[in-house]
Amino acid sequence: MSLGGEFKFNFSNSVLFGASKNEKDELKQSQTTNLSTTDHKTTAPTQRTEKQEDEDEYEPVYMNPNVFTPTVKEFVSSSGQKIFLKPKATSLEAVLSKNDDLDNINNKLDDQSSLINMSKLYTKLEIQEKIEQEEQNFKKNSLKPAFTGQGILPISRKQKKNADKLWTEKYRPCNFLDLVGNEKTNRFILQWLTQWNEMALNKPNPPKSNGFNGGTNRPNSYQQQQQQQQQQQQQQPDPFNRPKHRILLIHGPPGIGKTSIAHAIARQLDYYIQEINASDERAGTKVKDKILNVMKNSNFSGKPACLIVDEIDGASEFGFMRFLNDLIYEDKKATNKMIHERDSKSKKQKDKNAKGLLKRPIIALCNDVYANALEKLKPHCEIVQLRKPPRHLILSTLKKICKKEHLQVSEKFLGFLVDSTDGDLRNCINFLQFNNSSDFLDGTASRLSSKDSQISWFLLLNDVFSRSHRFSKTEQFNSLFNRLSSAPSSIDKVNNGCFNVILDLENTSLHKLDQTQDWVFFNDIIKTKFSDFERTDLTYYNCVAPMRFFQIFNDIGAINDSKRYSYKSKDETFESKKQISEMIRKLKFASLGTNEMNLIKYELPLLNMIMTPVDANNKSLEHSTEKMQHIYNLIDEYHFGFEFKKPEFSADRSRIHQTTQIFKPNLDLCSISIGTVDHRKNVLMNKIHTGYTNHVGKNNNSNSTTTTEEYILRKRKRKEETAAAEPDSKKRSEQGKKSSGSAVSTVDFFRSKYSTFASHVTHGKDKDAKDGNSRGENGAAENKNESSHRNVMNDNENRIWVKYHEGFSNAVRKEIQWQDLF
Amino acid sequence: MSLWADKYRPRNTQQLDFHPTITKRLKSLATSGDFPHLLVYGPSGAGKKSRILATLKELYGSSVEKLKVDIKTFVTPSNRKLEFNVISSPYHIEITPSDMGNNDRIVIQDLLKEVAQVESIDFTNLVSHDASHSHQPNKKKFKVVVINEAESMTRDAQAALRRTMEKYSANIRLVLVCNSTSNIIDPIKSRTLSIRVPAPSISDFTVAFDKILSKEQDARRIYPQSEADKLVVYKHIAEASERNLRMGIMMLEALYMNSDKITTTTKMIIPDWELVIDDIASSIIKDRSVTRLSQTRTILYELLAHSIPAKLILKRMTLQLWKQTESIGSFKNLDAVKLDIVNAAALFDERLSLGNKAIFHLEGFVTRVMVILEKDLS
Repeated sequence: MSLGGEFKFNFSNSVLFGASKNEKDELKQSQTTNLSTTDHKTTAPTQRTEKQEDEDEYEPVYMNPNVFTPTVKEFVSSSGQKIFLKPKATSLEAVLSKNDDLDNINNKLDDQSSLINMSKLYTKLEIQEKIEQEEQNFKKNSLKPAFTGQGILPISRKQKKNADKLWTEKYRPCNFLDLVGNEKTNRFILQWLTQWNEMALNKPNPPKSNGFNGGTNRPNSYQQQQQQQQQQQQQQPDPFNRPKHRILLIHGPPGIGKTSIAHAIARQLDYYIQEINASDERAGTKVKDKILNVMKNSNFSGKPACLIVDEIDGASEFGFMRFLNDLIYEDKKATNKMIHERDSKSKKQKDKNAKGLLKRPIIALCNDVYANALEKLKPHCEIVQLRKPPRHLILSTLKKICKKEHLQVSEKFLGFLVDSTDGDLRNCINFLQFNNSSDFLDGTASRLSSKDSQISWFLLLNDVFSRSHRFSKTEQFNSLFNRLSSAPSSIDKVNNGCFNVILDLENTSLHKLDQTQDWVFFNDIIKTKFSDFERTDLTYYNCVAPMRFFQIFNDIGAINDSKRYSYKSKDETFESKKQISEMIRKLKFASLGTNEMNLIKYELPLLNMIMTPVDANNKSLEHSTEKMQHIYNLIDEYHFGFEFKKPEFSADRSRIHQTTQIFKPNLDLCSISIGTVDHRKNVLMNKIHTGYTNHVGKNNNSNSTTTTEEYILRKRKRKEETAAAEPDSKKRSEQGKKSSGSAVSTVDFFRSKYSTFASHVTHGKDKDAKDGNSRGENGAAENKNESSHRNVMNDNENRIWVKYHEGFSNAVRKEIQWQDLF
Repeated sequence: MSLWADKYRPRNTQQLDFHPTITKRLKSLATSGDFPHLLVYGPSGAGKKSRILATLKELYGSSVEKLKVDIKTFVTPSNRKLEFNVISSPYHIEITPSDMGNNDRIVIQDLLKEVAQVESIDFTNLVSHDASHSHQPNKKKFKVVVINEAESMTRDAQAALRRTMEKYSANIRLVLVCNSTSNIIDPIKSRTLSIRVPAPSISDFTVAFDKILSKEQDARRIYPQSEADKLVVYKHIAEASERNLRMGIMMLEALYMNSDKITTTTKMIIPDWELVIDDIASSIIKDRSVTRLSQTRTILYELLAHSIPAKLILKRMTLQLWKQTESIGSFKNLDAVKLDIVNAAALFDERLSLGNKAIFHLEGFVTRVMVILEKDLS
């Protein structure tokens, strides 16, 4: 429909509207004066205006836009009287009688007040004017499309194919291989979702690889593997082999593809995607039906649904979170019941339709994992952090897009773009799309500043420090000042940027830095005042500090293009600060200390030393049962848990990714170790964990008074576990010591092992090669040495662990012979 | 079983080892029947809390140890919901209003009034009224509210306290616990009986440590056997823990866990953040350059990320600079340098409290110190 047509429609509606109101007034009149009601179509403008004055006298009771429906309308008045409205041809009489009526009322009014109601007259005039105006507008607009509309239409339709789609949508990754960055995490998410195969897709789960617990963390020694198995035994085996945590929570900064990953992977595994995001109504009951529908039934496509809860941290609606929690809780109950029933009947009966069982995967996405709203949900979630993809990957993705869209953009510019958006890929793509028509893309950065305010803080920062050839310093000063004061929102960023950059400048010196201090302070005060007392009048002074920086540091070549502004470090600082303050809050709640200050000052460091004594001159810890006992008691007292530490994503590629036990809450966070990971500590933690599980097992065996079924069930498992662990424990501790000693050179360790078990190894090697082939056929994206892990594990006699890492990503596949490893 | 500091905490007035005069006074207060509002102040780890709890026990019997933690919610005038932890027994309530930051006034107003308006009725007393208990009619008529960290309460909150203390004095007694009284407003000081609990002396430490080690046989083995050596070690611990007994006991425990044999030369455990700051200080004195500054910046970020208050960093750094400039001794005008450093510290301390960006000012301080040192040496 052309534009004009639409407008016409609206306009006629507005005419209708007036008419219906009039009609209502008449209804009222008819009730008071007992006249027969007549419907009338108002067409003549003069008549209309006349009636408009009634509007001022009578408030319309309700509106009925359907006056023109040809059927008979029926109204019931408040007195119960039925009134019929017929689409009746307007007779002259009716109009006349109505006019009389109006006159009557007018007269009555006049009687009441002899004065002329000026305001009424005035409004009348206004209304008249308005109507005339609208009529003119209507005429104009209705004419327009006659010329242009026809011509434009075909063109726009043609454009629609390409231009209509946002590039961010167009280039959204649609399969696993398209995803940028975070390979490890991606694989972990994929693995998590495949664990649902049996439940949701009626397919067998892929064999549980050692690394289920992590694409992110893999055991790298025999000992740890053992522990992991223990852990897996400890948690109740799920009848449908679903992952332990039923909800996957992905968090990370905006624009790095959280939604994309969730969608891509769910699609890859053939799920129907049901998304709920912040734009949906998420109040308790409404969403409940929706989700339950999705989770329990299958839809027309025949695919099972995967629920993706986007922007979950924004779910302020209390009901939604509670509902998710209920879902998990019911699932737990149902699962426990099922396990119990299976045990008692000793028959594997799997009833997928059991009530309350969670049958579909749920993936939740959020920016801030420490949001209060998530507090309750977090224990049930497998939490995965997505990081900003590395700069070169963003760049190459952007280049690809530019190539596809035939954009000529210099690499330098793309670099600028990435930096200014803080690695927000979506923002970058958006920028490219909406500036692609203009030709300034390949231009220098300074020309950009006027065009786009989004990235200008970055360029402003650049201008603060780089001296232009063309202008005198005063001129530049003035122009910068103007630009800074006209962009109050980005000044904060400019300020922080200045701070980040000043140490790396070519012409920096201590004295110059010292000179800036007063202004930095001034700026900080202004900001504090502004945020605390909303002194908006102070914003003008905001740009003083950058101007001071300009004055002191601005010089030709002061800022080095090749230097990257480290936006990353600051983000991580805040992230870890949040983590630590969360831990402190938890510990404080456990009534550990009295005072937060004291807790930070000395209690935490000392507690850390007490719980994990790693002092170098302490060799007897393993032999001192009293000391170990003391640690176990403390763990019990303060309800510490254990969890696997996810290995750091380090730039140092050569470092072996270590899997270790850490306390939960992680005490380690409070110690500041600027340096490498303390190896001793890791070994110790593992030892403590093993010891503790044994300790708990013994305790449970000794007191068998509690009778609840669940407890017995758990105890039985523990018994088995400790029984299994007992004979091994000696071996393990020995192994543990060795692995700690050999950690520096794993090769040496294996060489010594090799000599002792040479015969077995050759045996294992053959087996290995065989299995390796079969795995190759499976085509699983795991490297070969992993398969060898499993094979050696099967060989119950001697277990040797070999871990091989090429680069930081496990995605690298390489054929490896045993010879290579020894 | 828990940390030694908790395990061997005195539970009643008999177990209180040091400051016998204060103990005696509190005891007589508890037995006198009536009880004034108290303001207990002194450095942390001196035993303020233990003394108060012991007194409460004296006052009410062992049921004050039946503690439970409640979470109360308050609604601010701006309609924000706040959660607040309250530790309570049937006879007393313990709160830390400064947890709430600027909203502590609401806590004081709402919570205290709620407690104060309810008169606690003691049924045991009623039943056995005509029996032997009748000679202490006033006892247990009031509840005790212990307010922790009273000095960090805002003025508003303290003002809200004033009137409540008088109006509801029949039903509640307040015990304010703080480190120093300088932030407490005068009207409150005048309404309370102030009791100062000084930090324990080294001989007090010895008594406390001996008591603990006599019960921890395994640990006794590790600490030196000879009396003289033991005293030296105790002294070291007491000094390292700044005569904070709680910290001292934790250090005693940490030392035990960390070593096979403790001698007089065993190094004390210093919290790692302090080590890091000491490190900064010495590196600043040695090397005054922009590259050093940027290294310092990353460390400062790290410290702040570990929730270590900026003021604490500044304080420790200043003290260390003060100490280390002395020990190096290559300065022309040592006194002037030290004066300048302290001046700078004062300046940036003010900036830290006025502004928001701690990192700016900490680094500013480091820069200023570098400039000062440079000026003296060149």
